[in-house]
Amino acid sequence: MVISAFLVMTGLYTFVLTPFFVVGKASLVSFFEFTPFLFTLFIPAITMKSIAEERSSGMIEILQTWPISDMSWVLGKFLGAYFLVSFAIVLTFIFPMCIAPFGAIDWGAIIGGYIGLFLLGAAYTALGLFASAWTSNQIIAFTLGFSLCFAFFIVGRSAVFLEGDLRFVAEFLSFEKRLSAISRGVLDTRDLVFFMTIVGVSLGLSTERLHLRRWR
Amino acid sequence: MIKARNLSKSYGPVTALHQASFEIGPSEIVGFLGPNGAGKSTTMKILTGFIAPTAGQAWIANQPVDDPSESFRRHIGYLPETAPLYPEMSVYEFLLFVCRIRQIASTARKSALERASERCGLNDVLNKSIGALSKGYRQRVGLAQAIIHEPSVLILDEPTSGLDPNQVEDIRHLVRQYGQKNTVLFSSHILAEVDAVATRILVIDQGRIVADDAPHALTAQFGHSRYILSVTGVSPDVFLNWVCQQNGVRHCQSIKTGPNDVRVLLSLQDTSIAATLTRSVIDQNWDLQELSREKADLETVFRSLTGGPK
Repeated sequence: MVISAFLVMTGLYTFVLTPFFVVGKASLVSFFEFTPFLFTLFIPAITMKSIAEERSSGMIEILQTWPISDMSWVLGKFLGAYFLVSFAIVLTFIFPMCIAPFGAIDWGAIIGGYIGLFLLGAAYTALGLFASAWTSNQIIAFTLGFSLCFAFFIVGRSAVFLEGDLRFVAEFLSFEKRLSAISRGVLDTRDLVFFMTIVGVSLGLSTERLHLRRWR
Repeated sequence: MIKARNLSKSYGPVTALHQASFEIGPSEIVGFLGPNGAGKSTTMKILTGFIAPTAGQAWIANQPVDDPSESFRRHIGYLPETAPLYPEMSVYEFLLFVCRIRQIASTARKSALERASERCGLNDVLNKSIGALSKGYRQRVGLAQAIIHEPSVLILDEPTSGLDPNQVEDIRHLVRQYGQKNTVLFSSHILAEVDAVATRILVIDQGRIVADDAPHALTAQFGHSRYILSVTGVSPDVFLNWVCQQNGVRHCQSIKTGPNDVRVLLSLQDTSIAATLTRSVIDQNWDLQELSREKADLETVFRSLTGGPK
Protein backbone atom coordinates (compact mmCIF):
# COMPACT_ATOMS: atom_id res chain seq x y z
CA MET A 1 0.00 0.00 0.00
CA VAL A 2 2.59 2.50 1.15
CA ILE A 3 4.83 1.58 -1.74
CA SER A 4 2.08 2.02 -4.34
CA ALA A 5 1.21 5.40 -2.86
CA PHE A 6 4.86 6.34 -3.06
CA LEU A 7 5.11 5.32 -6.71
CA VAL A 8 1.96 7.18 -7.67
CA MET A 9 3.16 10.32 -5.91
CA THR A 10 6.63 10.33 -7.45
CA GLY A 11 5.21 9.47 -10.87
CA LEU A 12 2.67 12.25 -10.67
CA TYR A 13 5.19 14.79 -9.54
CA THR A 14 7.83 13.84 -12.06
CA PHE A 15 5.66 13.66 -15.13
CA VAL A 16 2.57 15.74 -14.43
CA LEU A 17 3.09 18.39 -11.82
CA THR A 18 6.39 19.58 -13.23
CA PRO A 19 6.49 20.83 -16.80
CA PHE A 20 8.19 17.62 -17.87
CA PHE A 21 6.51 17.39 -21.22
CA VAL A 22 6.68 21.15 -21.74
CA VAL A 23 10.38 21.38 -21.19
CA GLY A 24 10.88 18.46 -23.48
CA LYS A 25 14.08 17.35 -21.84
CA ALA A 26 14.72 13.71 -20.98
CA SER A 27 15.82 14.43 -17.44
CA LEU A 28 14.85 13.24 -14.01
CA VAL A 29 16.06 16.28 -12.11
CA SER A 30 12.63 16.96 -10.64
CA PHE A 31 12.33 13.32 -9.50
CA PHE A 32 15.59 13.49 -7.61
CA GLU A 33 14.65 16.84 -6.09
CA PHE A 34 11.20 15.74 -4.96
CA THR A 35 11.87 12.21 -3.68
CA PRO A 36 14.03 13.24 -0.68
CA PHE A 37 11.09 15.32 0.57
CA LEU A 38 8.58 12.56 -0.04
CA PHE A 39 10.91 10.17 1.80
CA THR A 40 10.68 12.29 4.95
CA LEU A 41 7.03 11.18 5.13
CA PHE A 42 7.22 7.82 3.43
CA ILE A 43 10.08 6.28 5.41
CA PRO A 44 8.89 7.23 8.92
CA ALA A 45 5.53 5.76 7.89
CA ILE A 46 7.29 2.44 7.29
CA THR A 47 9.48 2.53 10.39
CA MET A 48 6.98 3.96 12.88
CA LYS A 49 5.63 0.57 13.88
CA SER A 50 8.93 -1.30 13.83
CA ILE A 51 9.71 -1.02 17.52
CA ALA A 52 6.85 1.09 18.91
CA GLU A 53 4.31 -1.61 18.06
CA GLU A 54 6.34 -4.32 19.79
CA ARG A 55 6.37 -2.14 22.87
CA SER A 56 2.71 -1.23 22.89
CA SER A 57 1.49 -4.76 22.15
CA GLY A 58 3.70 -6.26 24.83
CA MET A 59 5.43 -8.57 22.34
CA ILE A 60 8.69 -6.94 23.42
CA GLU A 61 8.46 -9.00 26.61
CA ILE A 62 8.82 -12.19 24.58
CA LEU A 63 11.31 -10.62 22.19
CA GLN A 64 13.65 -9.39 24.87
CA THR A 65 13.65 -12.73 26.66
CA TRP A 66 14.52 -14.70 23.54
CA PRO A 67 18.20 -15.53 23.19
CA ILE A 68 18.95 -12.71 20.76
CA SER A 69 20.77 -9.52 21.64
CA ASP A 70 19.03 -6.16 21.43
CA MET A 71 21.55 -5.11 18.79
CA SER A 72 20.69 -7.98 16.51
CA TRP A 73 16.96 -7.49 16.54
CA VAL A 74 17.29 -3.74 16.04
CA LEU A 75 19.53 -4.52 13.08
CA GLY A 76 16.92 -6.99 11.85
CA LYS A 77 14.21 -4.34 12.08
CA PHE A 78 16.46 -1.94 10.18
CA LEU A 79 17.20 -4.40 7.40
CA GLY A 80 13.52 -5.31 7.12
CA ALA A 81 12.44 -1.69 6.76
CA TYR A 82 15.36 -0.84 4.49
CA PHE A 83 14.46 -3.73 2.24
CA LEU A 84 11.01 -2.18 1.72
CA VAL A 85 12.54 1.24 1.08
CA SER A 86 15.03 -0.21 -1.40
CA PHE A 87 12.26 -2.12 -3.11
CA ALA A 88 10.35 1.14 -3.60
CA ILE A 89 13.44 2.82 -5.02
CA VAL A 90 14.08 -0.10 -7.37
CA LEU A 91 10.52 0.15 -8.66
CA THR A 92 11.19 3.73 -9.75
CA PHE A 93 13.88 2.44 -12.14
CA ILE A 94 10.96 2.35 -14.51
CA PHE A 95 11.05 6.17 -14.79
CA PRO A 96 14.43 6.46 -16.54
CA MET A 97 13.44 3.46 -18.68
CA CYS A 98 10.33 5.34 -19.74
CA ILE A 99 12.07 8.50 -20.75
CA ALA A 100 15.12 6.86 -22.28
CA PRO A 101 13.59 6.52 -25.77
CA PHE A 102 12.80 10.25 -25.89
CA GLY A 103 16.20 11.76 -25.75
CA ALA A 104 19.80 11.59 -24.70
CA ILE A 105 19.93 10.71 -21.05
CA ASP A 106 22.74 11.66 -18.73
CA TRP A 107 23.10 8.17 -17.23
CA GLY A 108 25.89 9.36 -14.93
CA ALA A 109 23.56 11.82 -13.23
CA ILE A 110 20.85 9.21 -12.90
CA ILE A 111 23.16 6.58 -11.40
CA GLY A 112 24.55 9.21 -9.04
CA GLY A 113 21.03 10.25 -8.10
CA TYR A 114 20.08 6.68 -7.29
CA ILE A 115 23.19 6.06 -5.20
CA GLY A 116 22.21 9.20 -3.29
CA LEU A 117 18.67 7.93 -2.80
CA PHE A 118 19.85 4.58 -1.45
CA LEU A 119 22.18 6.32 1.01
CA LEU A 120 19.52 8.81 2.03
CA GLY A 121 16.99 5.99 2.40
CA ALA A 122 19.32 4.16 4.78
CA ALA A 123 19.89 7.28 6.89
CA TYR A 124 16.16 8.07 7.05
CA THR A 125 15.29 4.46 7.91
CA ALA A 126 17.77 4.49 10.78
CA LEU A 127 16.45 7.85 12.04
CA GLY A 128 12.86 6.60 11.78
CA LEU A 129 13.78 3.46 13.69
CA PHE A 130 15.41 5.53 16.40
CA ALA A 131 12.18 7.53 16.72
CA SER A 132 10.24 4.27 16.93
CA ALA A 133 12.50 2.94 19.69
CA TRP A 134 11.86 6.05 21.72
CA THR A 135 8.14 5.63 22.28
CA SER A 136 5.40 3.03 22.35
CA ASN A 137 3.02 5.35 20.49
CA GLN A 138 3.19 4.99 16.71
CA ILE A 139 1.86 8.47 16.01
CA ILE A 140 4.58 10.02 18.15
CA ALA A 141 7.11 7.74 16.46
CA PHE A 142 5.98 8.95 13.05
CA THR A 143 5.98 12.64 14.00
CA LEU A 144 9.38 12.40 15.65
CA GLY A 145 10.78 10.41 12.71
CA PHE A 146 9.46 12.91 10.19
CA SER A 147 10.84 15.85 12.18
CA LEU A 148 14.28 14.25 12.43
CA CYS A 149 14.47 13.36 8.73
CA PHE A 150 13.18 16.75 7.65
CA ALA A 151 15.50 18.63 9.99
CA PHE A 152 18.55 16.75 8.79
CA PHE A 153 17.58 17.33 5.19
CA ILE A 154 16.99 21.06 5.28
CA VAL A 155 19.40 22.08 8.05
CA GLY A 156 21.78 23.19 5.30
CA ARG A 157 19.37 25.88 4.15
CA SER A 158 19.77 27.66 7.46
CA ALA A 159 23.48 28.02 6.77
CA VAL A 160 22.98 31.35 4.99
CA PHE A 161 21.73 32.88 8.23
CA LEU A 162 24.52 31.48 10.33
CA GLU A 163 28.14 32.34 10.77
CA GLY A 164 31.35 30.70 11.86
CA ASP A 165 31.20 27.32 13.55
CA LEU A 166 27.41 27.09 13.50
CA ARG A 167 27.39 27.58 9.78
CA PHE A 168 29.99 24.87 9.39
CA VAL A 169 27.94 22.48 11.54
CA ALA A 170 24.75 23.20 9.60
CA GLU A 171 26.46 22.58 6.28
CA PHE A 172 28.23 19.52 7.63
CA LEU A 173 25.00 17.89 8.81
CA SER A 174 22.98 18.81 5.73
CA PHE A 175 21.76 15.77 3.83
CA GLU A 176 20.74 18.01 0.94
CA LYS A 177 24.22 19.40 0.31
CA ARG A 178 25.79 15.95 0.30
CA LEU A 179 23.06 14.54 -1.88
CA SER A 180 23.43 17.21 -4.51
CA ALA A 181 27.18 16.53 -4.68
CA ILE A 182 26.53 12.81 -5.14
CA SER A 183 23.89 13.36 -7.81
CA ARG A 184 26.36 15.51 -9.74
CA GLY A 185 28.45 12.38 -9.85
CA VAL A 186 30.93 13.37 -7.16
CA LEU A 187 30.98 10.32 -4.90
CA ASP A 188 33.18 11.37 -2.01
CA THR A 189 34.19 8.78 0.58
CA ARG A 190 33.47 11.38 3.24
CA ASP A 191 29.82 11.52 2.22
CA LEU A 192 29.62 7.75 2.25
CA VAL A 193 31.18 7.64 5.71
CA PHE A 194 28.83 10.41 6.87
CA PHE A 195 25.66 8.51 5.92
CA MET A 196 27.02 5.27 7.34
CA THR A 197 27.77 7.10 10.58
CA ILE A 198 24.23 8.46 10.77
CA VAL A 199 22.94 4.90 10.36
CA GLY A 200 25.37 3.49 12.92
CA VAL A 201 24.72 6.16 15.54
CA SER A 202 20.92 5.94 15.15
CA LEU A 203 20.91 2.16 15.47
CA GLY A 204 23.34 2.31 18.38
CA LEU A 205 21.14 4.81 20.22
CA SER A 206 18.04 2.71 19.49
CA THR A 207 19.73 -0.34 21.00
CA GLU A 208 20.85 1.67 24.00
CA ARG A 209 17.32 2.97 24.46
CA LEU A 210 15.93 -0.59 24.52
CA HIS A 211 18.67 -1.66 26.86
CA LEU A 212 17.95 1.19 29.27
CA ARG A 213 14.29 0.15 29.46
CA ARG A 214 15.31 -2.79 31.63
CA TRP A 215 16.41 -0.50 34.42
CA ARG A 216 13.31 1.58 34.61
CA MET B 1 17.50 -24.35 38.73
CA ILE B 2 16.10 -20.99 39.81
CA LYS B 3 17.77 -19.06 42.55
CA ALA B 4 16.84 -15.61 43.80
CA ARG B 5 18.71 -13.77 46.49
CA ASN B 6 17.38 -10.59 48.08
CA LEU B 7 15.65 -9.43 44.91
CA SER B 8 14.21 -5.94 45.20
CA LYS B 9 12.58 -3.76 42.61
CA SER B 10 11.32 -0.22 42.94
CA TYR B 11 9.47 1.77 40.33
CA GLY B 12 10.20 5.29 41.49
CA PRO B 13 8.85 5.57 45.02
CA VAL B 14 6.82 2.35 44.71
CA THR B 15 8.45 -0.82 45.98
CA ALA B 16 7.13 -3.72 43.93
CA LEU B 17 9.41 -6.35 45.38
CA HIS B 18 11.27 -6.37 48.67
CA GLN B 19 14.20 -8.69 49.41
CA ALA B 20 12.71 -11.81 47.89
CA SER B 21 14.83 -14.93 48.24
CA PHE B 22 14.00 -18.46 47.19
CA GLU B 23 15.45 -21.47 45.46
CA ILE B 24 13.65 -23.87 43.17
CA GLY B 25 15.17 -27.21 42.27
CA PRO B 26 14.75 -29.46 39.23
CA SER B 27 11.43 -31.27 38.72
CA GLU B 28 9.55 -28.89 40.97
CA ILE B 29 6.27 -27.30 39.97
CA VAL B 30 6.02 -24.16 42.00
CA GLY B 31 2.87 -22.11 42.21
CA PHE B 32 3.48 -18.45 42.73
CA LEU B 33 0.49 -17.20 44.61
CA GLY B 34 -0.54 -13.71 45.58
CA PRO B 35 -3.19 -11.08 45.15
CA ASN B 36 -3.05 -8.82 42.10
CA GLY B 37 -0.22 -6.34 42.32
CA ALA B 38 1.70 -8.36 44.90
CA GLY B 39 4.84 -8.57 42.77
CA LYS B 40 4.40 -11.88 40.96
CA SER B 41 4.90 -10.49 37.47
CA THR B 42 7.76 -8.28 38.59
CA THR B 43 9.58 -11.30 40.01
CA MET B 44 9.03 -13.27 36.81
CA LYS B 45 10.21 -10.39 34.65
CA ILE B 46 13.40 -10.22 36.68
CA LEU B 47 13.98 -13.98 36.48
CA THR B 48 13.61 -13.93 32.70
CA GLY B 49 15.94 -10.94 32.38
CA PHE B 50 13.26 -8.67 30.93
CA ILE B 51 13.83 -6.11 33.67
CA ALA B 52 16.78 -5.65 35.98
CA PRO B 53 16.31 -5.76 39.76
CA THR B 54 17.06 -2.62 41.77
CA ALA B 55 19.04 -4.81 44.16
CA GLY B 56 19.79 -8.50 44.59
CA GLN B 57 20.75 -11.23 42.20
CA ALA B 58 19.08 -14.10 40.39
CA TRP B 59 20.40 -17.22 38.70
CA ILE B 60 18.87 -19.53 36.15
CA ALA B 61 20.62 -22.89 35.72
CA ASN B 62 23.54 -21.44 37.70
CA GLN B 63 23.98 -18.53 35.32
CA PRO B 64 23.38 -15.02 36.60
CA VAL B 65 20.53 -13.30 34.75
CA ASP B 66 22.51 -10.08 34.35
CA ASP B 67 25.21 -11.95 32.46
CA PRO B 68 25.85 -9.86 29.35
CA SER B 69 26.21 -12.96 27.17
CA GLU B 70 22.59 -13.71 28.10
CA SER B 71 23.22 -17.43 27.61
CA PHE B 72 20.80 -18.24 30.46
CA ARG B 73 17.97 -17.32 28.10
CA ARG B 74 18.46 -20.58 26.24
CA HIS B 75 17.36 -22.47 29.34
CA ILE B 76 14.15 -20.51 29.79
CA GLY B 77 10.74 -20.73 28.24
CA TYR B 78 8.57 -17.78 29.15
CA LEU B 79 4.93 -16.96 28.65
CA PRO B 80 4.14 -13.40 29.75
CA GLU B 81 0.76 -12.41 31.13
CA THR B 82 -0.31 -10.87 27.85
CA ALA B 83 1.02 -12.76 24.87
CA PRO B 84 0.01 -10.87 21.72
CA LEU B 85 2.36 -12.79 19.39
CA TYR B 86 2.22 -11.75 15.74
CA PRO B 87 -1.44 -11.75 14.63
CA GLU B 88 -0.63 -11.68 10.91
CA MET B 89 1.48 -14.85 11.04
CA SER B 90 0.02 -18.32 10.88
CA VAL B 91 0.62 -20.59 13.85
CA TYR B 92 2.98 -22.70 11.78
CA GLU B 93 4.95 -19.70 10.52
CA PHE B 94 5.25 -18.29 14.00
CA LEU B 95 6.46 -21.53 15.56
CA LEU B 96 8.93 -22.00 12.73
CA PHE B 97 10.17 -18.47 13.34
CA VAL B 98 10.63 -19.29 17.03
CA CYS B 99 12.58 -22.44 16.08
CA ARG B 100 14.95 -20.32 14.04
CA ILE B 101 15.35 -17.71 16.77
CA ARG B 102 15.98 -20.52 19.24
CA GLN B 103 18.61 -21.87 16.85
CA ILE B 104 17.06 -25.30 16.65
CA ALA B 105 18.96 -27.14 13.91
CA SER B 106 16.98 -27.20 10.66
CA THR B 107 16.90 -30.99 10.74
CA ALA B 108 15.34 -30.98 14.21
CA ARG B 109 12.86 -28.18 13.55
CA LYS B 110 10.10 -30.32 12.14
CA SER B 111 10.06 -32.72 15.07
CA ALA B 112 10.34 -29.89 17.63
CA LEU B 113 7.41 -28.11 15.99
CA GLU B 114 5.31 -31.27 15.80
CA ARG B 115 6.01 -32.15 19.41
CA ALA B 116 5.09 -28.68 20.70
CA SER B 117 1.99 -28.52 18.54
CA GLU B 118 0.90 -31.97 19.68
CA ARG B 119 1.41 -31.17 23.36
CA CYS B 120 -0.46 -27.88 23.14
CA GLY B 121 -3.24 -29.26 20.96
CA LEU B 122 -2.53 -27.01 18.01
CA ASN B 123 -2.61 -29.55 15.20
CA ASP B 124 -6.01 -28.35 13.95
CA VAL B 125 -5.09 -24.69 13.71
CA LEU B 126 -1.51 -24.77 12.39
CA ASN B 127 -2.46 -23.01 9.18
CA LYS B 128 -4.74 -20.40 10.71
CA SER B 129 -3.46 -16.92 11.34
CA ILE B 130 -2.86 -16.16 14.99
CA GLY B 131 -5.11 -13.09 14.85
CA ALA B 132 -8.10 -15.29 13.96
CA LEU B 133 -7.68 -17.61 16.96
CA SER B 134 -9.74 -17.61 20.14
CA LYS B 135 -8.08 -16.56 23.36
CA GLY B 136 -7.66 -20.15 24.50
CA TYR B 137 -5.85 -21.16 21.32
CA ARG B 138 -3.70 -18.05 21.37
CA GLN B 139 -2.64 -18.91 24.90
CA ARG B 140 -1.68 -22.38 23.67
CA VAL B 141 0.42 -20.87 20.90
CA GLY B 142 2.16 -18.77 23.53
CA LEU B 143 2.75 -21.92 25.52
CA ALA B 144 4.05 -23.80 22.47
CA GLN B 145 6.45 -20.92 21.87
CA ALA B 146 7.69 -21.33 25.45
CA ILE B 147 8.33 -25.09 25.33
CA ILE B 148 9.38 -25.67 21.73
CA HIS B 149 13.10 -25.72 22.64
CA GLU B 150 12.51 -27.98 25.69
CA PRO B 151 13.79 -25.49 28.25
CA SER B 152 14.79 -26.80 31.66
CA VAL B 153 13.03 -23.83 33.27
CA LEU B 154 9.50 -22.89 32.28
CA ILE B 155 8.07 -19.63 33.60
CA LEU B 156 4.38 -18.93 33.06
CA ASP B 157 2.66 -15.74 34.15
CA GLU B 158 -1.02 -16.43 34.87
CA PRO B 159 -1.25 -19.08 32.14
CA THR B 160 -4.93 -19.85 32.70
CA SER B 161 -6.42 -16.40 33.21
CA GLY B 162 -9.43 -15.78 31.03
CA LEU B 163 -9.81 -19.36 29.83
CA ASP B 164 -12.83 -21.62 30.14
CA PRO B 165 -12.74 -24.61 32.54
CA ASN B 166 -11.84 -27.13 29.82
CA GLN B 167 -9.00 -25.01 28.53
CA VAL B 168 -7.80 -24.47 32.08
CA GLU B 169 -7.69 -28.22 32.61
CA ASP B 170 -5.72 -28.71 29.38
CA ILE B 171 -3.11 -26.23 30.47
CA ARG B 172 -2.88 -27.72 33.95
CA HIS B 173 -2.36 -31.13 32.41
CA LEU B 174 0.43 -29.79 30.24
CA VAL B 175 2.12 -28.10 33.19
CA ARG B 176 1.94 -31.28 35.29
CA GLN B 177 3.39 -33.29 32.46
CA TYR B 178 6.15 -30.81 31.69
CA GLY B 179 7.04 -30.49 35.37
CA GLN B 180 7.85 -34.16 35.69
CA LYS B 181 11.25 -33.58 34.16
CA ASN B 182 11.70 -29.82 34.33
CA THR B 183 11.29 -26.87 36.62
CA VAL B 184 8.05 -24.95 36.28
CA LEU B 185 7.21 -21.68 38.00
CA PHE B 186 3.72 -20.40 37.35
CA SER B 187 1.77 -17.59 38.90
CA SER B 188 -1.87 -17.43 39.75
CA HIS B 189 -4.25 -15.77 42.11
CA ILE B 190 -6.57 -18.76 41.96
CA LEU B 191 -5.92 -21.04 44.89
CA ALA B 192 -7.64 -24.12 43.59
CA GLU B 193 -5.35 -24.03 40.61
CA VAL B 194 -2.16 -23.85 42.60
CA ASP B 195 -3.44 -26.61 44.87
CA ALA B 196 -4.24 -28.80 41.87
CA VAL B 197 -0.94 -28.46 40.07
CA ALA B 198 1.89 -27.29 42.31
CA THR B 199 4.19 -29.41 44.41
CA ARG B 200 5.24 -26.32 46.28
CA ILE B 201 3.77 -22.89 46.89
CA LEU B 202 5.38 -19.51 47.21
CA VAL B 203 3.02 -16.91 48.62
CA ILE B 204 3.84 -13.29 47.93
CA ASP B 205 2.12 -10.27 49.38
CA GLN B 206 3.00 -6.61 48.98
CA GLY B 207 6.35 -7.51 47.46
CA ARG B 208 7.40 -9.91 50.21
CA ILE B 209 7.54 -13.68 50.20
CA VAL B 210 5.30 -14.60 53.13
CA ALA B 211 5.23 -18.38 52.83
CA ASP B 212 7.12 -21.11 51.02
CA ASP B 213 6.05 -24.71 51.52
CA ALA B 214 4.14 -27.70 50.16
CA PRO B 215 0.37 -27.11 49.84
CA HIS B 216 -0.57 -29.58 52.62
CA ALA B 217 2.09 -28.20 54.97
CA LEU B 218 0.73 -24.71 54.47
CA THR B 219 -2.82 -25.72 55.29
CA ALA B 220 -1.61 -27.52 58.41
CA GLN B 221 0.48 -24.58 59.49
CA PHE B 222 -1.82 -21.68 58.81
CA GLY B 223 -5.29 -23.14 58.62
CA HIS B 224 -7.38 -22.56 61.74
CA SER B 225 -8.86 -25.63 63.33
CA ARG B 226 -12.53 -25.41 62.52
CA TYR B 227 -15.10 -27.76 63.99
CA ILE B 228 -18.78 -28.34 63.63
CA LEU B 229 -20.52 -29.21 66.89
CA SER B 230 -24.08 -30.41 67.07
CA VAL B 231 -26.12 -31.20 70.21
CA THR B 232 -29.74 -31.81 71.21
CA GLY B 233 -31.66 -31.12 74.41
CA VAL B 234 -30.86 -27.45 74.76
CA SER B 235 -32.23 -24.22 73.31
CA PRO B 236 -30.09 -22.63 70.59
CA ASP B 237 -29.51 -19.35 72.43
CA VAL B 238 -28.45 -20.96 75.65
CA PHE B 239 -26.10 -23.32 73.88
CA LEU B 240 -24.49 -20.65 71.71
CA ASN B 241 -23.99 -18.45 74.74
CA TRP B 242 -22.43 -21.24 76.68
CA VAL B 243 -20.14 -22.52 73.99
CA CYS B 244 -18.80 -19.09 73.15
CA GLN B 245 -17.65 -18.65 76.72
CA GLN B 246 -15.64 -21.86 76.87
CA ASN B 247 -11.87 -21.64 77.13
CA GLY B 248 -10.03 -21.97 73.84
CA VAL B 249 -12.98 -21.11 71.62
CA ARG B 250 -11.87 -18.34 69.38
CA HIS B 251 -14.93 -17.85 67.38
CA CYS B 252 -18.39 -19.36 67.33
CA GLN B 253 -21.25 -19.02 64.99
CA SER B 254 -24.60 -20.69 64.81
CA ILE B 255 -25.21 -22.43 61.50
CA LYS B 256 -28.43 -24.13 60.39
CA THR B 257 -30.34 -25.02 63.56
CA GLY B 258 -32.77 -27.89 62.89
CA PRO B 259 -35.99 -28.68 64.81
CA ASN B 260 -34.13 -31.15 67.00
CA ASP B 261 -30.51 -30.15 67.10
CA VAL B 262 -28.40 -27.07 67.57
CA ARG B 263 -25.39 -26.64 65.29
CA VAL B 264 -22.48 -24.30 65.70
CA LEU B 265 -19.32 -23.65 63.74
CA LEU B 266 -16.35 -23.24 66.03
CA SER B 267 -12.85 -22.06 65.55
CA LEU B 268 -10.62 -23.55 68.25
CA GLN B 269 -7.20 -22.57 69.46
CA ASP B 270 -5.87 -26.10 69.07
CA THR B 271 -7.09 -29.65 68.72
CA SER B 272 -6.93 -30.50 72.47
CA ILE B 273 -9.76 -28.07 73.13
CA ALA B 274 -12.10 -30.35 71.17
CA ALA B 275 -11.77 -33.18 73.72
CA THR B 276 -12.34 -30.85 76.68
CA LEU B 277 -15.36 -29.41 74.96
CA THR B 278 -16.87 -32.86 74.39
CA ARG B 279 -16.55 -33.71 78.06
CA SER B 280 -18.14 -30.41 79.09
CA VAL B 281 -21.12 -31.01 76.79
CA ILE B 282 -21.72 -34.40 78.38
CA ASP B 283 -21.33 -32.93 81.88
CA GLN B 284 -24.13 -30.51 81.01
CA ASN B 285 -26.40 -33.50 80.25
CA TRP B 286 -26.86 -32.50 76.62
CA ASP B 287 -26.73 -35.13 73.89
CA LEU B 288 -23.76 -34.85 71.63
CA GLN B 289 -24.79 -35.55 68.04
CA GLU B 290 -21.74 -34.63 66.07
CA LEU B 291 -18.27 -33.19 66.43
CA SER B 292 -16.39 -33.01 63.15
CA ARG B 293 -13.27 -31.26 62.02
CA GLU B 294 -13.35 -29.15 58.89
CA LYS B 295 -10.19 -29.35 56.84
CA ALA B 296 -8.73 -25.89 56.44
CA ASP B 297 -8.34 -25.10 52.77
CA LEU B 298 -5.82 -22.99 50.98
CA GLU B 299 -8.39 -20.23 50.69
CA THR B 300 -8.14 -19.69 54.42
CA VAL B 301 -4.37 -19.92 54.34
CA PHE B 302 -4.18 -17.39 51.56
CA ARG B 303 -6.41 -14.90 53.31
CA SER B 304 -4.61 -15.21 56.60
CA LEU B 305 -1.24 -14.76 54.88
CA THR B 306 -2.14 -11.90 52.60
CA GLY B 307 -4.12 -9.91 55.10
CA GLY B 308 -7.50 -10.38 53.47
CA PRO B 309 -10.70 -10.92 55.50
CA LYS B 310 -10.39 -13.95 57.75
